Amino acid sequence: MGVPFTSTLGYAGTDILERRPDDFKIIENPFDSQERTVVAKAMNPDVAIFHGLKGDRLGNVLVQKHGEELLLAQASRRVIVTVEEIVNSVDFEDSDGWFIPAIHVSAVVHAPLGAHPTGVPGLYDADEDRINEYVKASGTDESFGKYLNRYVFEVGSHQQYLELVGLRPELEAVAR
Amino acid sequence: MTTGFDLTIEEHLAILMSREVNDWETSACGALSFIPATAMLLGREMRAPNAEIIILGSRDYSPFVTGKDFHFHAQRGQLDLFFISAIEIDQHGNFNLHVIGDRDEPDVLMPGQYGTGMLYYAVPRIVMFRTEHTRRSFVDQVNYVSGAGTSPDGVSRRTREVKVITPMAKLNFNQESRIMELGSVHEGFSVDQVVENTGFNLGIQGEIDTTPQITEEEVHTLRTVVKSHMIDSETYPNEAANLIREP
Amino acid sequence: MREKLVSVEQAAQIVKDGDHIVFNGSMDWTPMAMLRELARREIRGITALGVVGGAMNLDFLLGAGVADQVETCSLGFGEYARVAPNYERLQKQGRMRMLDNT
Repeated sequence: MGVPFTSTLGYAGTDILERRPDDFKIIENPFDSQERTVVAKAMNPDVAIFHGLKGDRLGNVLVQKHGEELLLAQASRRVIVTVEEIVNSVDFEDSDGWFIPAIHVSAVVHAPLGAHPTGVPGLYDADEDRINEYVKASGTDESFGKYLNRYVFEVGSHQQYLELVGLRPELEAVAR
Repeated sequence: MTTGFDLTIEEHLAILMSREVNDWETSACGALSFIPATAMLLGREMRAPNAEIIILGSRDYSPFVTGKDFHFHAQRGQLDLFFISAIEIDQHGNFNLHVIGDRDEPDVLMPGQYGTGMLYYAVPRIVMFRTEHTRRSFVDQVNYVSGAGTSPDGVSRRTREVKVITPMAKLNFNQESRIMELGSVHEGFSVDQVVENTGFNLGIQGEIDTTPQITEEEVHTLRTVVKSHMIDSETYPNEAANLIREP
Repeated sequence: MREKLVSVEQAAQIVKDGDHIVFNGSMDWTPMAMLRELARREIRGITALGVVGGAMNLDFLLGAGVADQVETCSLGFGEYARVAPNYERLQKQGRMRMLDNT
């Protein structure tokens, strides 16, 4: 909101505050010299990245109803939204999700099944096997390196990724 | 464990904790919190029919639209009681929900405290609990202060009562001296046992009370009404089925 | 009016080494297509923030070496693991920095 810091509850006396002296300080309440308060430095993220349901060419998007996406978009200098489908015009009244107007969005990308292997409630479930594979691969540098080769470096595009995992968007292969 | 009821640790703690729930107040626990959830539901049956109960992540007792709304509710002073468990608690009322060892290269790592640190300042009554009463849980100084027992001078907080409940004893945080004290010892345990298993000096002076006995009514209500409600309402149904005994 | 529909490769150009990126907290809705593209481009030095909490989003960026610093109040992994797996491995080895929160 264009201000350098905000007063916040908590933190005082903790190792959290001690480890982050550049982000949190204790100052005197300017309205009551008997009281002190923790203040947190304003964050100005460079980019917000999230995945939503629908987008249009102008950059209007429809995201999940009860998340923090609007807040993230407003706080960030640039906003990238990947979406399941592109429509002619995202409807402000669309009750499937929450409307974020194009003014808050820098780039919209068409990425069907773009959350895979995680899920999109109402569209596709998480791919539990692939997530468990990820957990297992995270055990060592070597095994995660192999995981990255397979799913990232040897794959040139999102479309190729979907082919690799045997999914075609129109099939909605991972069951609802 | 006590007088022939053959209580599980979870049942024992839930009964003791249920006595902290007051009528007409708002009591809450976080996610992954079977024992306090049970305690609040038992408290409502036994003594607090008009209690507002919040069990984050549950189907029927998680009333907020988004996760952060609960924390804002607490920040605005709308919670009366919150339950906390942590890997370490020290004599200064600090707790650790982050690491054992060095914060940047730890031996044991927890996912984080999801707002618990803030709640320790925002809620007037805090009940901490542990399923074990050991020297490694109750330490002289926590490895990492996730939530502090005392704020530096002048930094205000709403906290006015902090208790700790374990399978052996109840501890109280003395708001004047800012030190944890032994409040009572449960039936079947001795003061010596508690002292032996606590990694800080409890500063015992004089007689220590015995915690009021577990009653037939508490056990029966827990094992009938509360247990079946938890299963029916899908509030930790598996834990309720496995960790609360049959009447 | 300005057209904002671009490819994932074009969108990735927005992200520079050292940027501070924010994400939504849950395991669902993780923008994996975009995250894989950032990993593919070998972006480095990112600080990733999860609101409220983090999971696959922050963990993947840590594992891929894209992020060396993360900030969130809790970095779990849904029902799949208590602590996000790359976070656990890299933090225990002292190879990343977590900015704790309440």
